Amino acid sequence: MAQQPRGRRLIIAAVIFLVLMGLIFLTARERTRQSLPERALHGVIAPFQKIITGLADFFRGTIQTFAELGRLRRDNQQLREEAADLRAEQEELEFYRRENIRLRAALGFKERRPLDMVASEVIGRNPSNWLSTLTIDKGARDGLAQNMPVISRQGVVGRLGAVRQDSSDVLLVNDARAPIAGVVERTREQVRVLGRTDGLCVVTPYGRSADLRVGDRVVTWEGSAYFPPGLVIGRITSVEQDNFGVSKQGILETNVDFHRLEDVFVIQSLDHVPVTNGAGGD
Amino acid sequence: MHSFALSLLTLAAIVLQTAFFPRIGFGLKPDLLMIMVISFTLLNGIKRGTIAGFALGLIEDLLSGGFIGLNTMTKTLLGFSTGLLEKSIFHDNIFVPSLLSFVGTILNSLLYMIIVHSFDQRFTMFPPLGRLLALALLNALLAPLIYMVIRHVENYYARLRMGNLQSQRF
Repeated sequence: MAQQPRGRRLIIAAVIFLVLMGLIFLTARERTRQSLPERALHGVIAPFQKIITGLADFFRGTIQTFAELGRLRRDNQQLREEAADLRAEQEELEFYRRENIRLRAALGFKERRPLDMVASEVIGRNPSNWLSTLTIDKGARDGLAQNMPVISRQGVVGRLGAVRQDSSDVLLVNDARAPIAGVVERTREQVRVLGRTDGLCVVTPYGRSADLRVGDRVVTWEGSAYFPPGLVIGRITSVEQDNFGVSKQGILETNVDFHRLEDVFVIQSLDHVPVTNGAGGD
Repeated sequence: MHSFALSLLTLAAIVLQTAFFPRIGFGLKPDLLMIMVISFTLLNGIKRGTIAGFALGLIEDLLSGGFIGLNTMTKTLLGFSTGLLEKSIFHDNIFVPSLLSFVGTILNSLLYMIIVHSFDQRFTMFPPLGRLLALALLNALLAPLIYMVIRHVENYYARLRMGNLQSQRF
């Protein structure tokens, strides 16, 4: 191929630069639907991700089992005893549940219905180290939709971003694009939880004279647009002045260890889940 | 390099980067695609290296779910700048891709975060230093391995071409 003149190459580079900048601008905000190339590429990659994830789990599991063989017998005995205790406790709780239903009915409150959840497996992560999203193996075919809350046994995981036919992306709590409205359990003070690139979150109280302490547990707020109330988000690990020195902010470590997360649940039954077209978040 | 082999290597790198490394659990994902761009450019020169940077960056972008064009831009630049260096360094030494990956990770991540921050201020402008250095080190450790794999495939196809030429001559 003939060498192009220098000026022409510069013009081509400038045009490519401008086109890419435009694309970044258009896709920086949350979108309701992914483009065809994105969906197609995810479709090709997902089966391989599933296989490799399975293999990685198998190897990790096998190595762990051998390493822990000695401890398993002792744990087994201990767990049997704990199970017996828990059964007794469960019977007691069942008594209180019935009593609660009876009293709520007497007061005219609506019964809280159990949440409809779809269990799903984590099959992939965002290729970047600075964006916190992961891919799960369920999509629109299983009834999932954008913005549905995602939780695990440990607490809040995040909410659904792009939903494809057979897989979806989850915007994690520690991604800056998925702020959550929370409350500090001890003081019932409302706060905003926003992700940071180092995997932690910044907790900003709405009131200036906020009382934040290390060890405070932050849970989802009753008025959250996406999440059922009372789910654990995480614990405050340090408290510092904000950049302007005016008010306090806390640094929160999420309850869920995202590096080890394998199974998640998508909550389907919230009555109203808004679909945002601009800046998402609580 | 044969485009089929390059596609297979890319697929393997993506699956390892998104599904295997996050799962074995040390919290950092090596940027295998970045190491591939550097190694490929060292072996093929500036022009093909820049094109490879563009293609691999675009693939990574399509899988990232946002900021599409960002990796395309940073990885094209990476291919181009590695290509500028390629002629003036002795790159048969396997420590060269290692060193370039270390420096490349830092520059690449800084540029990446600055652009992300300029489009969405909720992100910080700079990546956390400790994580950045750990990532650069991880990439530097893996770079010789990936470089050798790509060089091996290149040599295989080069021998194949030579063989074809010789058989045509006789």
